[in-house]
Amino acid sequence: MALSMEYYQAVSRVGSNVLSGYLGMSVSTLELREQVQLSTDPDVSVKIEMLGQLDGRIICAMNEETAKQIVGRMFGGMEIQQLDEMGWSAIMEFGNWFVSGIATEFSNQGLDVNISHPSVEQQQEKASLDHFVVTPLESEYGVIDIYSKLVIKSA
Amino acid sequence: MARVMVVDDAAFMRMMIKQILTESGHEVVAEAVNGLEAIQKYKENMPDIVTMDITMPELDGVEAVKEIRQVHSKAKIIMCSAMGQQQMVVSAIQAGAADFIVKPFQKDRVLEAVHKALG
Repeated sequence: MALSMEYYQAVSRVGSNVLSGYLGMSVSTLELREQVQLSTDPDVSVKIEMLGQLDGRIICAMNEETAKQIVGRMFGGMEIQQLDEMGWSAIMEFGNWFVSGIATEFSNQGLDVNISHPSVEQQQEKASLDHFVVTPLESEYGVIDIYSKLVIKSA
Repeated sequence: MARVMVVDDAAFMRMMIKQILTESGHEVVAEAVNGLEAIQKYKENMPDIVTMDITMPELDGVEAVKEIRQVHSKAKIIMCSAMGQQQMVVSAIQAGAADFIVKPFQKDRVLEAVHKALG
């Protein structure tokens, strides 16, 4: 069963909570769109599989400058010139916070939900021709596209 | 001052938790990147407190808590996880965790949990 719009609104809500509530960034949600494959733009994508009743994947995609700004905030305001091993770990953890928050929201609505270990890719993910719903979150440092491909399985 | 083991597969999180703890006078005596390593390093180091992530490769944090507490029933383990749903918290506490902190967290929450676990 495909997800209703309220689930994608949860994506937006969680994104805003993490970005503005914890990292202090100003965020607004742009119009949702459907997309068959990832855009050619993202330099950085964090992918997490959703497990359990909520099945599918969520990908947080952004350009490298946006990723560096997020990582800088996670380090307490440092200026990040280049993403090193610790920086990549931080951006993966950002994805983990984000998708875990979504999983918690869906769990609070009665679904049995878990998530996989996050994986990160520096370049555009090879197109798998999956059908995504994209929730773009516009921050002062650029857009973070949240690609969701999710269905609800029977309990 | 407590001797603490930090368990998280993310290097960034281990660094952040270690910084919070050492700035407050605690000593990080060991770090582990998954549940299996956590069990081994607990035996080697016998820390006063463990901070434990849940979603990790090899063995997750809840299973690691069960294994550690089976052998060391007085082990004090604080879960630190981004997965904050009620059933996860209940599973962790039933496994024997002393507290549950949801990521992203503020420094004070970590220190409060450590202080409380030390009794």
